Amino acid sequence: MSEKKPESTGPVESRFFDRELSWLEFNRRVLAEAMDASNPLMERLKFIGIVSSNLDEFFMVRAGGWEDTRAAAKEIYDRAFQQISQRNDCFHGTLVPEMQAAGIMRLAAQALTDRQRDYLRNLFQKEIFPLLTPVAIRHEHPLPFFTNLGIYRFVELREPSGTQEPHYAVIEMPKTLSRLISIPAEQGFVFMLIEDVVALFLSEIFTGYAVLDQGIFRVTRATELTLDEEKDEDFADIMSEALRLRRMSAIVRLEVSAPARMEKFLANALGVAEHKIFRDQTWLGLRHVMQLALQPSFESLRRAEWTPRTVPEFEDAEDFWGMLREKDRIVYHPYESFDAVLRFLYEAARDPDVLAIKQTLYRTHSDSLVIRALESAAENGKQVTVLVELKARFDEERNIHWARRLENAGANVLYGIAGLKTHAKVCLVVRRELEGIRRYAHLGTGNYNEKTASMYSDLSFFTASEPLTSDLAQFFNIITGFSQPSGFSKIDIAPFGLRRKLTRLILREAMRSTKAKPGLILAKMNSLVDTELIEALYRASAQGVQIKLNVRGICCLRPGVKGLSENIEVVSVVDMFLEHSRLFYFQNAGDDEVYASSADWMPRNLDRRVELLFPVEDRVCKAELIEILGLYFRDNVKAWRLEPAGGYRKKEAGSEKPYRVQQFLCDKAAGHMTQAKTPAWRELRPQKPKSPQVGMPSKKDSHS
Amino acid sequence: MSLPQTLQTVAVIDIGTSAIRMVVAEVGSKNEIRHLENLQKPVRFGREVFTTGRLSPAAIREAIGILQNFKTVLTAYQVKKVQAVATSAVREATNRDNFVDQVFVRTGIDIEVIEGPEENRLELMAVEQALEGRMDLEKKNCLIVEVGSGSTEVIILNQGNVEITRTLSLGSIRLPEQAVAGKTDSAVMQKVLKRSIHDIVLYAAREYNFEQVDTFIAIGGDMRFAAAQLQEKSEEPFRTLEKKAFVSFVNQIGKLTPDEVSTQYGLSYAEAETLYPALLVYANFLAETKAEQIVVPGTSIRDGLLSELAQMISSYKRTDVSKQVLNSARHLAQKYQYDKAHAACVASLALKLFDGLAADFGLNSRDRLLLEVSAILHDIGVFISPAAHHKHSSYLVDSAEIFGLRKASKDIVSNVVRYHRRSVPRPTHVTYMSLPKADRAVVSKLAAILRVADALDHGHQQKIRQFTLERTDDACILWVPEECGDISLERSSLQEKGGMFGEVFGLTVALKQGSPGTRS
Repeated sequence: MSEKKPESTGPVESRFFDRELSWLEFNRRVLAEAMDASNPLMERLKFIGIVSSNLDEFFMVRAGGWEDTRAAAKEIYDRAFQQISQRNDCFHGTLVPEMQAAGIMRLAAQALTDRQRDYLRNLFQKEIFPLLTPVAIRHEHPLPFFTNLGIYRFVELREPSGTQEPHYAVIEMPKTLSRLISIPAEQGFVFMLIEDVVALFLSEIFTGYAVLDQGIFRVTRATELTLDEEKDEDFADIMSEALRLRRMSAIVRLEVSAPARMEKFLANALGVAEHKIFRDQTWLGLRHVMQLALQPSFESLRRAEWTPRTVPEFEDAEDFWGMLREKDRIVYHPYESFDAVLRFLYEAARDPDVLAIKQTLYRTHSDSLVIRALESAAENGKQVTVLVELKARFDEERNIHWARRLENAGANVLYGIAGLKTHAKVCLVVRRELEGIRRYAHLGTGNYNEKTASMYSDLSFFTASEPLTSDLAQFFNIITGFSQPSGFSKIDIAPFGLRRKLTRLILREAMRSTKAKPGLILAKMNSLVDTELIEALYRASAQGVQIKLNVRGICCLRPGVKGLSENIEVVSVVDMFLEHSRLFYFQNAGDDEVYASSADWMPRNLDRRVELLFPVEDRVCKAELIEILGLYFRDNVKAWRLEPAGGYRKKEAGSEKPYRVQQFLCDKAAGHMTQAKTPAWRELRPQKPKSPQVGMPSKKDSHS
Repeated sequence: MSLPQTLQTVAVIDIGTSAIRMVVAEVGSKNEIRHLENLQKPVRFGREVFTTGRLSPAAIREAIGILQNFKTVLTAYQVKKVQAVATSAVREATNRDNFVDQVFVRTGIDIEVIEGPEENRLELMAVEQALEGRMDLEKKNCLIVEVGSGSTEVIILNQGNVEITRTLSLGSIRLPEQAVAGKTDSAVMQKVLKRSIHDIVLYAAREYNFEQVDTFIAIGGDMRFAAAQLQEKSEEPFRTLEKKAFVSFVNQIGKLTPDEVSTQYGLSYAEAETLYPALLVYANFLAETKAEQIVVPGTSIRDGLLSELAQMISSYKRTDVSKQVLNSARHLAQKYQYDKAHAACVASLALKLFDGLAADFGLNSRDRLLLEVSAILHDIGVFISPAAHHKHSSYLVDSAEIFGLRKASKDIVSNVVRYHRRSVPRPTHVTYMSLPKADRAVVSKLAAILRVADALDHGHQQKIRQFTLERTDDACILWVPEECGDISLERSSLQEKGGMFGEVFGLTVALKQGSPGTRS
């Protein structure tokens, strides 16, 4: 569907930006935050960590697809490696000196004092050495398996007798230990990398051998999973199998720091092409710099931590369900607290009138309050149905663990539709009331993860309104395989009608746009890749529709080109919180419509995932979202504008007053709301036996 | 909290030819219905049953799996009352009893296999529900058509009276053979369908002239889909389409391959594949009428089932189908040129007697309706031949469709008319013996009453139009007015036919003139 070739008013390339290069552009904007001297040091280190883990993921997930199928593969490698070099320059050139000035110091072996050396020897012998497994590499033997992102010390040895040829051996750094080993020091934070510590004591590992030379390396492997989903077996079991298989996939990058002779041997042995090798003499893979950013103390080098504000309506509601019945509500994270969502779940878990809870879970963390609420609901005898998405990238091992926990509590845990990831975020509560069955829903753009909810900007929408909740009941019947789609009255879901709906909304805007009253589209998303939707936007632009896109990451749409997209503006805001909400506004000739969605405008989301698009119809909520959408375009501190050539230029305040949208939203939230405290309702209490008399149970007891 | 008596959560399940569907709904004390959940899951029953005559073990397993899932939803809502019916494909499967049993054992869901006329009744309820207060069916001549996957249901409603009902072995996956052969060619399909539908109409035209039809009502999923495409959402529970727009939509669909239909309209392949044939059947029926519009109710037989369930729970304003059942019976009798006056007279006498006995002999309102239907139809066999006409009546009833009567009820009618004269039931009578025990007792009681009533109008002159019933411990005395004149013929007839009454009720029956207390 999405492969549809665009109409030819020029070569295809010129109509769309390359998505890999566009992604690198995005990561460059993150890197710019690390370089931005106005950010506190710890914040900048955090961005170095993010840039690095982003790049790791980029190679793992994408590079398998470039392999030899694209002439551009080499160019992407070059550009990505350039970026790694820039990152290293920034880190070693600017940040390391600043770290040192602040007392954060990476020690070299020769700088160790005797006491420090003794300390390390002791540590090495007690805690590190038992976890090391040196493996000899011999020509006649197959190579050992190098794990994805594992860090290896690589050595050249000579036998004690000295008669045989030198040979190689490798030692993987234990993943269970921190990469940063802190060292007692007079002041500040002093550390060594674990591979450097191991290097100090090589002679204790290879007793009797002479260590002639040494290096380190790290491999990155392609990790996209392929499963035979046709087989009708217990899905969770196949997953565990796949986790083991994952380790077997192709090497897409080799980062190495070793003498040329050793490096050549390694590259040959692994069969890694020259353009995939990155040589780095200093610190392989800077993702662990994140650990530095999280070190306690150094408060003066950190930005003041933002504490999400609680929402008074949610916090103070005596009659929680009554509050939701009254009108639809929105909560905008991380300015407003995820507690609103948790309270929704906890009320549902213990309310005797709640019959059932249905929820999708894509990514959540292991000791999640969300899981605890669902567990207790199941234990309270509610029918709890949880649709767990096992294929959330990199999180599978964690997911399977808590899926089993929920099953043990008596919940129905389902593993989604084979072939389609369930990415929608929705929770539906069925409650029996005096006026009949009523359903309440939470719909979100972010995952049910209270940790990320304080770092990602996401929308939570709560509703009890009937056509919408009824659609959601049907949605659950579809994703659990109980039913097949028939028509929805409010929502649209991928991979069924969502793409068609978005196309129609864009084209309707084009149709209704006039010279006197041009149409207007505001859209906020993480990525814009889908060519069909981009073509629709071009057509709308040609009809005079003003299109303002706020695309944080990849954007394949080429804005501001006369005759193609002169009415389209694209900005990207990269700041302290990750922009994650997907919100769309259509002016619709005055009868304006606002939608929120779990889906980015990518073929992956529209065709191969289960995603939700829902309208926000309540007048107050709508107005609030329209305002938020607009604010991002005012940002002149952390916003970047995409240029017709594909580069991003940072918006400058110039003579205007600096305006930083995330800061503005923080201030606004702080002004309106009270500081969060651990709320009383979170305490889990057993459900009381149902009272014999007919009537609504008292709501009072929920707050005692 | 226990729910107030006024609201109940119920569910109806409909096991069709190409899908199993369920509606969970809340019903109120005034029969308000609020849908909570609608589920449907495709099955391939039609292709199996219509070729092999059976449901395969795999198909049965599949159905059980689907119903077990549905059961989960029922549990969530704590639904206690579930009405499950199966139509066309299951109805025709030779192993349907096995299917019904397996489903019950595995899921606890008790399926009732309903026949065409019962389906018609539910459809009519659904239509009335959608049109209630918005269109007066009493003033129209309606053709109601539902094209299913395995069968097409046709109802003709003349000024609100059910005239004709038909269940045709024609559906969107069950086309005339020639049409199947030319499946890919829409022109061929159109030609074949047009001819076979025209044949049906010609045949039906002996009883009813289709040109009188001024209102075309189309129900069924394919039609609802077409209506949704042609018209924006409406607040009304039905949509009205212009004939021209509909016909051009059908032509447009005919030009597309199922694949194209599927992608353009977001339908599953199976739905896309059957859309065109289904619409074509509607279009051809439409062409036989003078209607310029199509009324498409948003309701289905599931709504009919729901409103029946609601009425059962609330006991509020129950739809009286007996009027339509009797209309349909009279229409059938008309076809066999019955003696209308005699039938009406016998019916009225029989009911009078019934009312005098019902309370003591465990007879209910359904039995009363069946008696009236039997009285109307008892002599239709004369059309074949006066000799052994009770047997002819019986098989004519067997093979006819009577609106609103399910198979079990029609079996009773067929036996009652069989025993309205001559032999009483015997253990050697296979059709009688194959009835459930309770139904055999009903047949005996109704036939005994019918015999007495028939005897009272032996001469077909309606000399006796009423009587006063006197009950004693061991006798029923029917007092008729002196004005009736000579009733010796009737009296002797009663002597001849009253034996069964004595046997069944343990009461002798006598005909007397005058009034109780007087002696003639």
